[in-house]
This record gives sequence, structure tokens and C-alpha cells, in this order.
Amino acid sequence: MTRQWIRWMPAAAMPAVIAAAVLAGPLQASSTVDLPHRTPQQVLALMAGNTVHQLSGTVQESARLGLPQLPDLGPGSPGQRASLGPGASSGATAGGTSAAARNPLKAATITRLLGFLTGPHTVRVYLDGAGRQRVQVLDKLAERDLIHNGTTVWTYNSATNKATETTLPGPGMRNPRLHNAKMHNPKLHNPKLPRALAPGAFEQTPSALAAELVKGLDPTTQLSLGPNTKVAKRGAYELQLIPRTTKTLIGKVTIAVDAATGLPLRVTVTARGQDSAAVDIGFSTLDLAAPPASTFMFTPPPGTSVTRRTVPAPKLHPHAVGPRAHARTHAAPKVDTSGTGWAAITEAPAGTVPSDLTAAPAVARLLQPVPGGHALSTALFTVLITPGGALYAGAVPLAALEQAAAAR
Amino acid sequence: MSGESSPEGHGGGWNAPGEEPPAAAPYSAVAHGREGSAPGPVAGLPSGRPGALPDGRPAGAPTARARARTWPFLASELSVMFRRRRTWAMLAALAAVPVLIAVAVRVTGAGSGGEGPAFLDRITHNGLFVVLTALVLCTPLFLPLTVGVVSGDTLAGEAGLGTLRYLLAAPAGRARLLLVKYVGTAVFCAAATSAVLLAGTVAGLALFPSGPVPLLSGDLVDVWTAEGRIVLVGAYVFVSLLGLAAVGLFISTLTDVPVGAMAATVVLAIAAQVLDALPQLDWLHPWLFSHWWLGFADLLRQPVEWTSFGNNAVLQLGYVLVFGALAYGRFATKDVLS
Amino acid sequence: MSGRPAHTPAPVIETHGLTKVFGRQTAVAGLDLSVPAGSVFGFLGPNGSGKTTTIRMLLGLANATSGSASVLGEDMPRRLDAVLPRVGALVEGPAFYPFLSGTANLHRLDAADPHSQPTTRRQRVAGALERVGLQHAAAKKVKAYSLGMKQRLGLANALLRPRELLVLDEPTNGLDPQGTREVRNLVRSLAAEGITVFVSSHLLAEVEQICTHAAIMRAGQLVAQGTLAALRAAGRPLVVVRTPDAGPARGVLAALGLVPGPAGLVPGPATQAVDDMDGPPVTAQFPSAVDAAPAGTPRAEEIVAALVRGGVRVRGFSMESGSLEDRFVELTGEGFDVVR
Repeated sequence: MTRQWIRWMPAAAMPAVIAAAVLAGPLQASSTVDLPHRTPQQVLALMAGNTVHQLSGTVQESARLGLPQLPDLGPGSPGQRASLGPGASSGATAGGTSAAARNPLKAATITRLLGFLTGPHTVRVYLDGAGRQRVQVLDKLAERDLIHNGTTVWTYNSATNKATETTLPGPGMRNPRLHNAKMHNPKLHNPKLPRALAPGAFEQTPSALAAELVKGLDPTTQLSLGPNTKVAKRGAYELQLIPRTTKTLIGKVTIAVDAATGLPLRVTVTARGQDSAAVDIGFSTLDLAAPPASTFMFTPPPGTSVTRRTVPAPKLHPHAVGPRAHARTHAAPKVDTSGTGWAAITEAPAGTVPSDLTAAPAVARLLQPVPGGHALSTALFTVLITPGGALYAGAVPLAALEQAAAAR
Repeated sequence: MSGESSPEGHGGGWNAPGEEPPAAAPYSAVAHGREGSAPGPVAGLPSGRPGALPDGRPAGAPTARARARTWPFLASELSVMFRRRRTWAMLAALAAVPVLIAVAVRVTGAGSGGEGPAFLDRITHNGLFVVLTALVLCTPLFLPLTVGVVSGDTLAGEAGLGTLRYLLAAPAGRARLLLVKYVGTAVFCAAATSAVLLAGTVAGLALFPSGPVPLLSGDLVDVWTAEGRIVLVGAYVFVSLLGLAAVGLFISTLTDVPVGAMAATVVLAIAAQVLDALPQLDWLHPWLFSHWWLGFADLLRQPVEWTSFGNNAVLQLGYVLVFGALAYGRFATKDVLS
Repeated sequence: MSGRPAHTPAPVIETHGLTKVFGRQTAVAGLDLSVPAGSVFGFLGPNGSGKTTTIRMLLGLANATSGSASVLGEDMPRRLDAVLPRVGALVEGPAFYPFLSGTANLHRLDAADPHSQPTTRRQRVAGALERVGLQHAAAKKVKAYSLGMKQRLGLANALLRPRELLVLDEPTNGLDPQGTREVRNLVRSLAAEGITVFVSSHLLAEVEQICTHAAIMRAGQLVAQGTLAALRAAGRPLVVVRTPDAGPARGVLAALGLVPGPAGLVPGPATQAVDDMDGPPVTAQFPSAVDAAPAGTPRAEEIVAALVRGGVRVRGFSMESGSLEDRFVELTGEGFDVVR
């Protein structure tokens, strides 16, 4: 009976229609984007001269580092602020007063940081000028907020219902000046700035990561332009950074730079020999209008437990120069660097790593025992912890770290 | 619910596409057939017969007859559903969830320290969190359970009772019956969500203080805005259930044993959530109908994050289309032997 | 096997080579059914002979594996939507929502028909219930109904609208004798109104009492159909000869191509009236039914003449067409419930 198969036609057609719709999306995205021709250096300059200081946007982050995904530790844990990056623990890093800053390698902190690195996240970012920022990390059924308004920085975690209020030093004038200085600084990065206060200073924003990545740009990197792309419906140039050395794990870095404003819209980091990005941070929506002023007003809801502290005038640590951000969590102890460029190895002396860290179950699952101690191997970077508690980290294979440790 | 007001009055609109190639033809053909044979048997009917009442045989009958009425059928479907004790038992069970939560929190005063389901620790500060806590509990488990029962029962239940053959001989039309069954299930989804919402709001406001409600972002909104957000969340949960309802409808076409279809649907709902929790299958996650179920929290942020609502709606629509088409393919070609 | 008189217009139900195969089992094989308009058509056959499957195909519930069917002159199941509103059906026993009242059940089924008038529904339901004598139980939940009441409710459903054809599958199942009689009267009155009634049954008596036509199914195949009278006649006639010359009579009959029964056999009730003064009568059966008999088959008077010519003293001669029951048993084989 021919009529029978006709009735199955919709069932056959629907998946085809959906497949077509799903495939049409990427096709549209990959269609050529017409932009004025520029050289890589011009794009770099465009990015350096980016004038965006008002935006609301959603940032999608995903990291596929080859780590086992950690059980959801619950967005409630206070230490998960670490996943907001140095920005969240801003006062801490800048002032060196908080417990987290004194011992950034507290097992719980590391665990949560790794938890962050292994799962996808959605972050909403609001900027209005230099002194007003809001970052919302959208967790499942919860949210972590950072609200910076002038000299006040609030953090709020809806899962624990805890808030901290940090009062920054000086009359509100100081920071905006610094911000403006940074924003218009063609050198892109002023290491003396409190990173937390720079626009988009959170590791989550493509801008911050892009700034980090091009900061150490030198002849060891081959700079080129990929095909123009579209990010968050905006035409963008795609800068490609390819390490010339083969000693690093990093194969390629791309930075999509908004053609209109120079704002970095998306950053991907691909491991050597891989096709898909290990780290992908990019705007999914972006609006360059000023967010409503109420966005930056924050009063902790009733019932919230609030911690208040005041940060004295900043004493800044120069940051270890490296192509990546990851190893920088342990900024407080004395840190040495060996090697150069992409293959740089960060070394922290014995005693840096508390002995309880390697014993923490979640961390222990990630670490593998190696002849020189315990190692954490990911697609993009490797960490080696010696039995004595010294720490070696870098975007290099484990063998390079072992070599460095042995050389000590 | 009068047939005259039905928008699908242009005959054949609800009928199986394959069944009646020219949409309007069959009904005029009915009229023809009747008129043609009128001098024969039909004219001889005594007027006292039930069917000889003003059933449209007199003048004007063909046009009246050419109208396919589906609203009365849908109304009948809903009345059958809501005249079942089982339906009310399930709605009562769903309504009991927020009430139990509210009472338990009230009696024990528990809910500090972030233990238990999300929002539980907020209830003592604001009664409206009862609804949200209940939805966190109901969305992954109780709501899919009841929707699985209702959607799995749609056709398998009729087949099990034997009424399916009489509906089809009526003739209900297979596509039309499928549509009415699906809409009926969707109405149940809405009723089930509303039961949780209403019971939660009432229990929360009765047992706990109300007042400005803190959103996930920490911003406070007044009670009416919060209630509006809760209604939005209800809409989100309702939409979330539509995909499962379509899956259940399809499973229901596969068997004449309603319990089997119900169980299979519920098991699928649970399996989808288990798969969603396995990181090794992250490529699959965006395709699972349960993937966005708990994304309703995005409506409680300030400002409202609509992305998950949109993603969820598109995903559920996809499930409805695919499984609706599968259910049609199966049901329209099926031999009804029950 | 054509039992259709020439003057009848198009048959109400007509199938050609209708076949239904379930897996490896053939439920209905090459059915050629023809139900004349205005008839009360008995669809006879033992349980499992394919009657219900045939009805399901006629109503579009099941798809035919091959062959075609038309109902009320329309192709089925293609024109299902046009045909079924004109057909009242009771298929394989009544089935209702047990938690609804009789009235609510009928409202539900009537609403399922996209072409029924909602404005007259209440009256039509009440009228149909009254017609089957259920008006007093109309408000009771169906789960409180007896099987007989459910059967009546099923009939009421078939009568919700004016029909041109009623398909009743085992309509008296579960009914007490009183109910059976009522159903019979109902069918007769419907037939009197000009409605064609297609009744399936495994009960011969039922068919014999109300039907004008019948078809007999056996193991999925149609073995006979036609008017009741023709079916009776179509039994292979039995020649009964009363004679003292049994031997020569058998010889003559055999020479005529008939099949003499064994000596001393009393094959049927028709021969029982014979007294034994001549010993048991000689019987012989025609090799095939009269209708389908080849031209050379002898007529009754020719048989008598031949017997007389053969020197047989014919004291009595009769040709029995046999009862429908004999015919039914003969066609369907024994071993099932022929009479209640």
C-alpha cells in the first residue's frame, strides 16, 4: 500500500528539516564577512586602541583541557570566587590581606578553580566607564555576582546567601584615572594597575585574556590574520598567534577583534596537534550601550550574611610574565621564571604547596604520580609538584618541567 | 466551545493530510451521497428516530455538515480527563509538594546552611520561595512522572479500554485524534504546573512572611514583580514538559498497554536526566529534552536572562515536531486491533 | 456464488480479493463480499474465522494487505471520513469509559465525529438511549453496567445519527433471551426503515431468524454467500428413495452421477419420517450444489424416470435441500458452537 509510506513522510522529513536548520547556522556564520583590509599589526593596534568602556554582554566560556569533570561542588562554596579570577579576589591580590591571597593554593581553592576550568560557564558582563562593573556568573539555580561601583566592590553568592563588601582605597577619583590611563595606553597593559579594577579585568572576558595573550608578543610568535568572522553578530578580524617554538603545548591562539571598536570579542586557545579549541571564551551577545545605572547598585538582600573589609592603598606585585593566566593563581610566594616566551616555566620554591593539597580527594583524582612528584597534565599546561612542595608550571610537556626540577 | 466559532471550520483542516486529498471534497460528497440516496432508505426513516432530529438533513445541511468541528471533541477530551479521579489525584499530589515543603520548614525551622534543594533556605525569609523550591523538586521528578502517566495513556489507554476503535469509527480521524490527545496532554501540563504554582504561593504566603523578593542576582523586587517572575517560571516549566508529552504520545501509539507506555515515558525522562549528568556525553546534552529543565532560574536573574527560555522553547518545539511526526506516522498506519 | 438479484443497485459493501496477513498468519484471504442494499446480512463463521478482522478493514481500523473494499459506494479506507458518519458500528463487543455515565460516554463518542451537530447532541443521545431501553440507567456509571447493558449502550452509540448501514459484530453477545429478542426486533425495525444491517455472528439461529442474506466464513475464506433461501438450496441436495430394491436403486443413482450413501444410513432429519416397512431408504447426494451444477446433472423427474426404467419399485421419492445448519456445518466443519 503506497499510502502507508506517505504517512511516514513527515516523520522522515522532520529530522531532515531540523538537521538543515542546525547546519544552516554555522554555514551562515562561516559566510564571508566583508571588512576593510588590515594587516595583523593594524588589527593589533585597533585592539590596543579599543575605546569601548560601556557594554553589556554575555560571555560563553568552555574549557576542554582533558581533565575529568569534577563533581559539581556547588556554586555555594565561597572559594569559588577564585573562579571569578583575580578580579573577584581583587582586594586580596592587591592588598595581600586576605587568607586566599596569603595561601592561594589552599586545597579547596584549587579544587574549585579546576572545577571551573573543566566546565562550561556563562557570564554576563556589564561595564559603564571605568568605575562601574558588574559580572554575573550564571550557575545552575544560582548566581555569583561581582558589583564594582566607584570605591565599593560587592560580591554576592545566591547559593550561600553571603556577600562581601570591599571598600577600595582613596576617593573614587583615583581608579577611574588609572582605568582611563590603561584604556588609552597603546601598550595595552600597565602592570602597575590593580588588575581587578581594569575594565574587563576578569579572566572571563575575552578582552582580559586577549590583553594577557598579546602582552608578551615577541618574535617567538607568528602573527597572522585568519578569515574575517562574526562574533555576537559583529564583524571581526581574527588574529592568529602561533608559537614558533615546538616546546610549548599551545598550538594556536585566535583573537577575534571587533572591526568597529577594536574590542576583543572571542579568544580561543588550541593545543598543539588539536583541531578544536581547548579554551574558548567569547561574547555570545554584546550591546555597546550603557547599562542602566541600577545595574551597579547593590544592597544585600535581607538575611544575607555580609562580610565587610577595607583595602589599604595597594602594594602591587609584578606579575609573572607568561602567555597564560592559569599559573598565576599562586602569585604570592616568590616565583621564578625560567625559559622564555611560550615555553616559559614558572617555578615556586619548596613549601609553596601545602602537603594537604595532594591528599585532597578531588585534587588527587587529577594528579598523577610521576617520578618527580605529582603532576597535573592538561591539554594546555602542566603542573609538577615535587615531594618537597615546590611547584613547576608551564605550557610545556611534563618532561620539560621534570628537567627544570632536576636542574634545581 | 461552539462549533460555529471554531477557527478550523474550513473542513478537513484537522484531518490527516494523506486521508483526504481534496480538503473540502469529502463532505460535499457526504451530502451528495445522502441526497442521492434520499429517495431510498433514508427518506423512509420515521421522524421519531433519534437521528432524524434536526441533524442537518433539511435545507442547508451540506454547508453545515462540511464544517469539521474539533473544539467539542477537545472539550470532550478535557472533560474525560478531568472527570477521572486519577487526574485529580495527580494534581493533588503535585499541590502537596509545596505544601509539605512549607509545613516542614515551618515546623522544623530548617533551611539554613545551604543544605537541601536550592532556595530551601530562603523560605523562612520569604514565602514566595516555597514555589521555587517546589519547582526545583517537581521539575526533574514529579512533573515528568505525571506527564508521563497522562501522555503515555493518551492512545494506549484508549486502546486498552477498547474505546479507540469506537473513536476511530465515529470517525474521529487519526490525525485529529492525535492532535486532540496532544493538546489535552498539554493542558494537563499547564494544570500540573499551575497546581504547584498555586499551592506553593498560597502555602508560602500563609505560613511565611512576604515582602520584597531577592532575585538570584541579589537585587530586590517587589512582591508583584516577583509573582510575575514566578508566573514566567511556570510558563517555562510548562514549555519544558511539552517535549516529554510528545515523546509520551509517540510511545503511546506503539502499544495497547497503557501502563507500559507510561512506564517507558517516565523511564525516558529519568534516563535523559542521567545522560545529561554524564560529562562524557556532553555532545549529546544540548539535544536532551531535559537539558534546560532547570534553566528556569534564568528568569530569576536581574535582568531576566531569556537565552535559556528561547533555547528550551526551540528544543521542545523540535521534540514536538519530530515525535509528533513519528506519532502520526505510526498511528496513521497502525492497525487498530484492540 | 453470486446471490445478488439483478435489480439491486450498487452493493452497500463490496470487497474484491480483500486479504489481511498478520505476520505469517493469513486472517482473511481473498474475500469477495457483496452486501446488497436494504438487506439484513448475516456474516457467519466460527470464532477466529476472520469476521472481526474483515469488519475492522471495512471500517478502516485495519489496513488490508491487498485487495479493495468499498462501503456505501465509496472506496475504503480512502474515503473513510465521508463513509463512517453514515455507518453505525458495534465492533468486537462494547467498550466504554467505565468512569463515565452512559450519557457521558455517548456524548464523548458523538463529539469525536467532526460532523455531528453539537446542538442536537443531547436529544440524539437521549433518543438513542431510549431506543435501546437504557433511559433509566443513563446517569449510571458504565462500570456499574452489566454486559447486556453495555451491549445496549454500544447499540445506542451505533444509532446516534441516522445511518445507512449498521455493522453489528456479535450484537447479542452477553444478552439474556429477553435482550436477544429485543435486539432482533430492533434489527428488524431498522431494516424496515431501509437501513442495511450487516450482522456478524457465530450463532446460526440468530442469523436464520433475522437475516435475508448471509455469508459464511471459514478460516479466513468466504465459503458461501447469498440469500438465505439460496444458501439453503445451495446445499448439495439429498435424494431419498423409498424402495424395497435397495441394490438396483443404488446402482441407478450411481450411474446418474450421484453419490449414494452407505447402505442403511439415515443421513438427516428429513429421512426420519420414513417408516421401515421397506427397510432403510436409499439416499444419494448430488456431487455439487444445484446452482453450480454442470449442465448434465439430472433433474428430480429424470431421476425418478431412470429409477423406474431400471426396474426399481419407487414407493417414495424426495429431494431434500437440507437445513441451513447442515449447510453451515458442512461448510465450516464441526467442532464449534453452532447452536447456543
